[in-house]
Amino acid sequence: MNCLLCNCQLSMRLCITELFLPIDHQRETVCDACRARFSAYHLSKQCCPGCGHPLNGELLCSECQAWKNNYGQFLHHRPLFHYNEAMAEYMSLYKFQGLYQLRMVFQHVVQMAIKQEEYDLLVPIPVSPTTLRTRGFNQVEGFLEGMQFHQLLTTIDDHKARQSARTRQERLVSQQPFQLNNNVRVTGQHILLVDDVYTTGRTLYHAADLLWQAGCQRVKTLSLAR
Amino acid sequence: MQKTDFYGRRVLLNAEEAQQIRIPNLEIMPAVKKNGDRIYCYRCGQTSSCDTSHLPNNQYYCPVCFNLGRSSSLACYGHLAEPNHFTLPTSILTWSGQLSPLQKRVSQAIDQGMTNHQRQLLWAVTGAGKTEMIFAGIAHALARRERIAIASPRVDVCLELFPRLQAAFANTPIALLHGRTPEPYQYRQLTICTTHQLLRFYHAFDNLIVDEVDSFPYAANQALLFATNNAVKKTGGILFMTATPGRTLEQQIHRHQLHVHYLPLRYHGHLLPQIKINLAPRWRKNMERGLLPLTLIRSIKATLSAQHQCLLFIPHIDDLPLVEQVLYRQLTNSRFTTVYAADPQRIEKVQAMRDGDYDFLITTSILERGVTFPEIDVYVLGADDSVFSSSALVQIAGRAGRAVTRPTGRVIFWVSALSRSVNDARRQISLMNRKGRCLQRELSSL
Repeated sequence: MNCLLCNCQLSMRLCITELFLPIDHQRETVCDACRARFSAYHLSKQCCPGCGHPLNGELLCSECQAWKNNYGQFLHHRPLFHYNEAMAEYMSLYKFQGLYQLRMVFQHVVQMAIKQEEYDLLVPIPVSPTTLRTRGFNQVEGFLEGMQFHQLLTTIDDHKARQSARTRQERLVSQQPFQLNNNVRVTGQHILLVDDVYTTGRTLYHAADLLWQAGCQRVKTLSLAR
Repeated sequence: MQKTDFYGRRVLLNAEEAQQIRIPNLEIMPAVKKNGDRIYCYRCGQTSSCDTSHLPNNQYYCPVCFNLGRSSSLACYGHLAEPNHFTLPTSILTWSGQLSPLQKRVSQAIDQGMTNHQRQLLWAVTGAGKTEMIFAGIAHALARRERIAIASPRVDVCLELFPRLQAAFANTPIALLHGRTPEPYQYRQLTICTTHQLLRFYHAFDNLIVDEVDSFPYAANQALLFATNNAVKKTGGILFMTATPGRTLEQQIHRHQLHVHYLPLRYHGHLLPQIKINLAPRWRKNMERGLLPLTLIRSIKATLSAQHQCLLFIPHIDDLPLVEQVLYRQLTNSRFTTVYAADPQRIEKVQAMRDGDYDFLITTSILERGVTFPEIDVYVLGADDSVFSSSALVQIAGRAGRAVTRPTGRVIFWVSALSRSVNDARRQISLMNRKGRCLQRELSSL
């Protein structure tokens, strides 16, 4: 097994129990040097309860305050990693070059984080049908492989142009790109929405808005990076 | 997309693009194929396991050559056979330099081989003037309306070749292709590209020239070897150029699959300095205790007292500070420093060495090729380490004796045990020297 990102040789360090007991141990997919380039969020009291951004004194950061004014409530968002240079490189390889095997780099981390949350329905953010045809996969569903999730949302075709191709202002004024599938009852449910990158929050607030309107009791969100 | 974009190439198209494109006779080829539980990629010729290369919904992609755009079962290739639609300028070769009699002889042989579309190897020692020797062959091939490419594994070699060739063929437009090319692809009779770019071509070239075959990442990269064979027409010829052919090429020579042209003498007509081996068992352990082989210290002192400079190669970057420390203690009044790949002052340090500001440099294999210091000795500590391939060792040994003023030099390797690559390097040098001596006799009898 080689490191998925730098292709160096990975050595397995097994302890004696792992050698002899039939426990399914987690196999490393990335070397320590590559892993160290990503920086994880450590959520604490000094962080914005809305998006995890560091705060100095306020109760809510200005962005989340704006969302709260807009929607009457804000999302309790949980980011896992900072969107730094390493994460940008990773996203370009995984999403835009389409290296589906790179889902393994964060699959375990994302799934562990999801297991810590309490929810009734796990909902990944969808990609547009055009993207799905050319890319061949939904990058969020790649992380959730093996878990039970519900695809409650679909994109209204061509409404969801790639967010990463837009400027901040363009993103903030963008139209609702999603619609809700009618056949699942969501009233009174706890929803956990998962996306890959949280930049302005626009995408997740669009999705959450639909779910709030449909009568969900609570919507929590989680993203790999922010 | 234009028609010319498809001549002799495989252009990656996704399903929608393939439907929309309106080019008559465009051949649509599949990108990948499933063989049991292996995925075969038509572009790079490599197979990979389904575990790593599957997509949802029974789709597949190739994880080997994704850098050039993902080759997958969701995409296909558009291809048009190479028509050789070129307009020839009135005068093709605008180079007016002179070749030495030795170079001229090899140049004629290469020209002949290119006319017959042979697979050839030009095995010439470093600094023999390889580029100038292929001009005649290229000029004649261009006159025959052939499509020609010159490929090298290294971008910097391509960038260095481009102006030289553009000057030599001033009336022929040349396309320069590499991963960082800003301008779009253009259909040209003469192309200079990195070996990775060859993956995009399919039965395009009548003659292909591959420079520095032995260097990273071309050597031992099966995908690039596959691409080389695929980029030339079925009747096309290939010319490999190197100072240090690896095992695969040597095997092809033995099987008579390659026509070899040797140029075993440097431009000053002297032989290559042979490698001397010194055993230093457990040198790494000793180094950690602050000791280096006594013979190494003595050799460096001898070089310095003879007013020469030297290069000391070591296998890993992590060893640099240790070696430096030990040498600081042993050689108190000499000026030296360390150079490595990610060193921000690499270019300045090399220049300072040229200017004589340093007595010697301690370095990793980054200075193995392309760097010339005139009168130096070369020492390698731990030459049996796996990072040094035999061709790297030959290149390192080839740093010595480059100047007419001092055509010889000392090349000493310290090894903890003899390895195959060290032996191979010695064997290659003595082979070239044997051929060189024959040539020297021939020349003196003239």
